[in-house]
Amino acid sequence: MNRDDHLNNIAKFAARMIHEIRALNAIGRFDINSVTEDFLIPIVKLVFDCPDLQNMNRVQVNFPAVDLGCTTTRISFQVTSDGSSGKILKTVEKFHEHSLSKTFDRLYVIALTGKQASYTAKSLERAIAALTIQFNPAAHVIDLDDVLVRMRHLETAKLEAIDHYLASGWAKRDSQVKFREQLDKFLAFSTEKIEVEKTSRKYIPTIFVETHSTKEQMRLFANPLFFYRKIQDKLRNFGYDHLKPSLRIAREPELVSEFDVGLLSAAPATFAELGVWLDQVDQAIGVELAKVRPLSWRRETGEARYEPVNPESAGWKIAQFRLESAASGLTSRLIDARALISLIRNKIFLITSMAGQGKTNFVCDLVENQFRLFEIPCLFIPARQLNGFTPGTRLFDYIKHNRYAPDGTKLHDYLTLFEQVAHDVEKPFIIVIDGINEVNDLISFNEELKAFCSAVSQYEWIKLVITCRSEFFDERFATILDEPFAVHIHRVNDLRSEMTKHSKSRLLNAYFAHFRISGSLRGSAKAFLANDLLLLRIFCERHEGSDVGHVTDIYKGDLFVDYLRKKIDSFPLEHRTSALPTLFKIAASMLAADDFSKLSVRNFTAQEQEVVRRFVEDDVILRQEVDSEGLAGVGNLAISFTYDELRDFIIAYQLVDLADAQQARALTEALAHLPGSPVYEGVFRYSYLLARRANKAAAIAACEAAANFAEHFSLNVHLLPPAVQTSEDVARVKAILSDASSARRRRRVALFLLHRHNTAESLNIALLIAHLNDLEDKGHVAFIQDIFGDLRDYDPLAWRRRVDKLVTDVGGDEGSRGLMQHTPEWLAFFLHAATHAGWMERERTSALFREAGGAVNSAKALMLVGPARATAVQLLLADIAASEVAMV
Amino acid sequence: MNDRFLVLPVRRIPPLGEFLHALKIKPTGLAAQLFTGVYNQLFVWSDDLRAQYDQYYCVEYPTLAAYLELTREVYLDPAELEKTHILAVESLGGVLEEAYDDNVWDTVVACIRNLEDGHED
Repeated sequence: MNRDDHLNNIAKFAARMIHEIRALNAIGRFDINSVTEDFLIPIVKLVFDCPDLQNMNRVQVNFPAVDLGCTTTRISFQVTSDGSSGKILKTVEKFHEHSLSKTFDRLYVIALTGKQASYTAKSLERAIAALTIQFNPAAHVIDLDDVLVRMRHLETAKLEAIDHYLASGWAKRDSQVKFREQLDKFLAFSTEKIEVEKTSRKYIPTIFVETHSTKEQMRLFANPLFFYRKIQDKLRNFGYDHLKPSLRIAREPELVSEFDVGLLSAAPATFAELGVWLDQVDQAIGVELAKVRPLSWRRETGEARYEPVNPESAGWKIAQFRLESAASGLTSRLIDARALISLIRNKIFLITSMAGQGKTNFVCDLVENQFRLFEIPCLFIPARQLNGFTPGTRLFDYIKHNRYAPDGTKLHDYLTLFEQVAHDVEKPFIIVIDGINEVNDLISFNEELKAFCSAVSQYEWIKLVITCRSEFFDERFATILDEPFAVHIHRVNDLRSEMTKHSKSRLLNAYFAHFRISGSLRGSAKAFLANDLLLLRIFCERHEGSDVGHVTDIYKGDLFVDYLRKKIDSFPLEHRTSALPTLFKIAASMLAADDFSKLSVRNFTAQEQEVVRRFVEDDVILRQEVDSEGLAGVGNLAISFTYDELRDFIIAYQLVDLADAQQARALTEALAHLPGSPVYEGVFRYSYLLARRANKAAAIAACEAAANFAEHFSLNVHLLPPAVQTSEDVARVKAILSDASSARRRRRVALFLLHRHNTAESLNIALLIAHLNDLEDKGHVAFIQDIFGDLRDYDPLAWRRRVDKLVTDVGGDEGSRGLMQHTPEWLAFFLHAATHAGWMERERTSALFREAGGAVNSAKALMLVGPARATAVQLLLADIAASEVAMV
Repeated sequence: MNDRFLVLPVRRIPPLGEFLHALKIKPTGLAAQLFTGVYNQLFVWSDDLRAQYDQYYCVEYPTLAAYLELTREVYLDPAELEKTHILAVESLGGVLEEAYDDNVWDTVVACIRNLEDGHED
């Protein structure tokens, strides 16, 4: 072909480009403009002779005014399909506003679909006058015809390169158009599975709590051409300058960085360029590590330590620590950067974690919010749906079972297509397999999964994200880690995320919004639910769509009953009657087997097994466990309770339910047999509470006759609803307060009473005040010491310092106004405690009450404490009274 | 101050000289050496969360506030969110170290506040 042939071809391709851009813009597909920016780079590089031209949006998202730029030749381009004066004006203004003349000397606007004949707007003239670079619309606003004119002056080799580039680009586009149309639908069908996860509430978007570090790793893994810059960030400013002074003191040779700074500004635009760049960076890191790591504390096993020229010199002794510390920091940076390179190169992102840590939420969020927004092609496979396909070819069949799937007879047909798609969009094709532990036949699936991973590993840009419960992985899938492709696995072992108070609060609000619950949480109810996500889930499902008012306390027993009722009501009619008995059967079987962590339901009836499967599917009441290996495990379903407290409640409920018929024999036996078992405390608590609420005399008697009942009573008294509190409970509480032999029990009950301000209830703060008033000097100080002390205190006077702190806190910044927020009963307790504070704090207490004057609550508090028998209290009251008199 | 790192929203990053001058420290001498370290910790080696948002995260998170809250657990007032730089310092060492009785944290914060106010005027 000669020059004219090349020029004619290029003109045809350019005309087609203009036509396609106009057509796509006409139907609102403006995204084609940003695609064109990238497409034009190799052409503009040659035509304008700017070899380092790059897409500025890759350097910085939403880079202002210009799309393409070459910092070497200082030429920039705005690429637009809008050639109007308004667009040129806006570009010029933005260029000026962001002082881009510091980076570029020339600005061109490439109007893809044609420019105006002239640009004479006054506003544009004014904007151009403000520029510090030359800009002439006649010369600097160009269209593709102008580009073609410039091409005429290019040498033939460059014309041939452009012709070849355009020809291959259009050929690729033609071949892909049909498949891509289908592919979009194919992928859309796959991501519809996310909606299924939402409906089943395995994924609740608004209440998702991010695991930032894992998500960050995923960004490098799944979107390398966008996030590779993180590696540049990590290595920016890398150098040994701050080691120099110490090296001079130690009289050691200087370290000199050989790191090519050009690598930090490189902008690879294709997978091929990225691969080369990663190799270069990795090699450069290796060179620097060889220098600095021997001096650091992060040497590899067997790696020789840095040998100073004169290890005995004073200079080395002085500088050694500082040098090693700084070298360790630099080594860490290099190692971290290398870890990011590995993330990009890894092929399998394996997430294994305990149940309930949000694996499904994590991957669904990824697909919906990260992959979708970055247009990363992705196939989402909820592993439990593989159960509907033939073992051996489950994954292949699943992929094929999509009406938009292209024809394929073997797995590699699809993988080849996926690889092609990845290269087209320059983003990996991600296959997410969520919850491989939910596949029925784990042994055969392990082999199938290995074969699948092995096949995928043969493709450069197809990647897998796999999630699995850690105990299942360790038992059933761990051999994957022995396969050759295991070197490409990046494993995350823990998805838990620590939450601040703010985030917990945000989470509570999000849960309430998602479950359409109105009302508010206060005090212990809020703390309970914010710190126990499973309980929060149960609470929200129970109260979905309702107004809960102001909730200050959560009575778990009531909540469990209501929740179970609601859950069972949602079952099909034929399963409702057998649901609760099935749960009871599980409880009884666990008691009989004395194993509360796992139960096989092999011997359950078909209907019971169906009920179990429904509960397991929900994953809130029951969950699947790893069953035994070999023949014994075939077709078996092993389960456990998801929430330990709900398990204890159901066991207790069953025991109390039987109590009437059996004179509580089973309950008595269980309470005698269970001590030492992990369920004992919970089963006792709920048995007693349920018995008390239902007033089941035999069951109550069985609990009260159990060993160490007083201890259990003190642990659970706060859960006794006011309606069932009796004079016997009052007597028990008084007995515990009077029992000096158990400080912990006394403290527990005293603190419970301290927060019970409703004097209409049998158990309330008045009991505590009456008890304190009755105590003589010795007993009084011992009681206060018990309440403020701690068994772990080393300092025998630590309790007194806590009393001092209480006085300081109550006084606080608000002084006596701080007293106003407390009830008279609480202030009465405060007075009792303050009598054992230090001298300064007692003075402070007197001053607080004196300043409060005759405020109703403080006056009433003084009255409540009036009958106190302890001398110290009377002295404090006298001091306050004297002060008040003095004031008068 | 977050549990894991310090967050410092500022309108501008003062030059080192201005920072030392505001602390009444002469540019030569031991104090300058110590406080250059402080300057580096706060303004050179810190992460600018706003810049990171613009560069990496604005596609995934609709607002800067959402990004800070969801990924960093940083909750800022609207006035602080408007500032040009939101610096995150992973760990305070040297004379800023919390465990060091004579740490100069309060002095440095007051200095930065003065510089900010002065610039606003």
